[in-house]
Amino acid sequence: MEKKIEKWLNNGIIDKNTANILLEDIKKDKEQLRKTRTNITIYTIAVIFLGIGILTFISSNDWILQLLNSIDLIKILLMVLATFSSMWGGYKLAYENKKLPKLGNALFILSSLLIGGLYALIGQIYNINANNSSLMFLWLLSILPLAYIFKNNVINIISVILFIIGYCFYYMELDIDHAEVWTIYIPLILGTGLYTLGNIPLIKDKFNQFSIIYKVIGSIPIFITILILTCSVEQTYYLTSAFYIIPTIFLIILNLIIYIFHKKKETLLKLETSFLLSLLIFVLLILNTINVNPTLVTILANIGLLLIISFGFNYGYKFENEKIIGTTNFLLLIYIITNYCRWGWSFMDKALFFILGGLLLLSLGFYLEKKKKQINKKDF
Amino acid sequence: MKKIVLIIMAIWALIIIGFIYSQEYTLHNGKEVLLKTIPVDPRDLFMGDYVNLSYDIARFDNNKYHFEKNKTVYVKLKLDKYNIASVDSILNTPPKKSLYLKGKIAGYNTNYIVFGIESYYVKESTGKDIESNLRYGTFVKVKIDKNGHSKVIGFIE
Repeated sequence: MEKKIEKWLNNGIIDKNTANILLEDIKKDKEQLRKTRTNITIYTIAVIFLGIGILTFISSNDWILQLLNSIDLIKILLMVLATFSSMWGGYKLAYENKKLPKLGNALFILSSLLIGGLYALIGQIYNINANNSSLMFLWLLSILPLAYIFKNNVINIISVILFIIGYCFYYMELDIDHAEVWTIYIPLILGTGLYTLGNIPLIKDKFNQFSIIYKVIGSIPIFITILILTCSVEQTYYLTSAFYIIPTIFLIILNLIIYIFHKKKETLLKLETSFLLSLLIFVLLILNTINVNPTLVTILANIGLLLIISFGFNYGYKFENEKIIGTTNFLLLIYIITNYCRWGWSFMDKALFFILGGLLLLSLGFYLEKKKKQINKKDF
Repeated sequence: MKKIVLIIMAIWALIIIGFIYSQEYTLHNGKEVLLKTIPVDPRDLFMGDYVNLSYDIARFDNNKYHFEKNKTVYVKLKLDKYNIASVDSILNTPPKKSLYLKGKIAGYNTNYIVFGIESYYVKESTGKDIESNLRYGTFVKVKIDKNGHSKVIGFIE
């Protein structure tokens, strides 16, 4: 904003006095925003401390049993009281009185942690293993309405974490002893699944912040898995069980339906859908192939990563979005370092390895900084 | 907004009541039997100290029965005069008018059945003691309802 004010001043759209007033206002707003952010951070840390405190209070079977004289009902009632009063208090402060909206939202977060603690407590009382997928999904379904109705980012992130844990627990419960499930199938399906959620028209249009969260978190396992495939490929990933095939086909169909239901079929959406579909078809093919050709998979993985990086730069520079450019720079750096270490370490003299690596990174940094400056200049 | 908050709270309350009811149903209507077990591998994960229970009736001979991984099975039980349960037969469908336990063939071992009663929560820091005291085996009191669902009530120490 400051740059724009400077631009308006230089172009004679506003005078020096107006520019000063605007700059002063922006300074005040920034100060206010900084204070609010500090408040939110304090509240968030406070509720996380409270949530952890109550969860450990439950797990410390020894003294809690002595304290409450082994009456399970009292333990449950105490937790119900804490959960519901925190939810009701959150509503009163954030929406009815509107006196302390930040504290109110923090209490919503606390109630979303406590409801999970309550389910775990009931599970513990009845000797049900707390580390199971059903409990995680029950917790997830309970807090999802809170995230969406109150548009609460922290609760949404908690729900994504629960989804990931629940999904991993589900496959752990199946007890199928295949390392490939964890190295390729689970990260790719989790990543594409989360990314697909971010493309659902309703979420994209009305809850854009959530859509970005799903896409960012979903991209991480996808990128890491493809990066690993550029270096190391197993002889086989053969897994024909319905537990793997059905979710993959479901995601393919879901992506097609989402694409059809989007009114505006932007270039970005087309590219995202094509990439997700290619990735899912790749998963389906690799799961059904007895003997994988490692060279082919490595080539495909490299093409996939280069496509992501080129798309990132193309999109970032086209729309002059610094965040996308920055993220793509980071991805390119990881890709270069991984490949340089992989090939350079075994083929080069160690001194040459470091010297060339340093020079390569310096040149890359210089080129990217120059590009960034060009965008900034264009802004003026 | 107030209505929505109240609806969410009502749904949470229903889930809690339903969860407790489903567990209490087995405890109140189930038949009490004894199962021979060995406590193994006490671990301390999310929920404090607990012991893992490995039941004698969970293991079966692969030559006699053959089931696929993760398949649901029904273990028909026979009781002796002390109410100690042993396996009568392992079936694909629930037996009529007999006491049975519902279980699932383990994914890692096709001659082992998981019943969902393998965890038993104990006082903090006592899991390892229980394991070493009862390493030669003990009996666990279990309630089994007419649908084959089961709940652990306690140890016979």
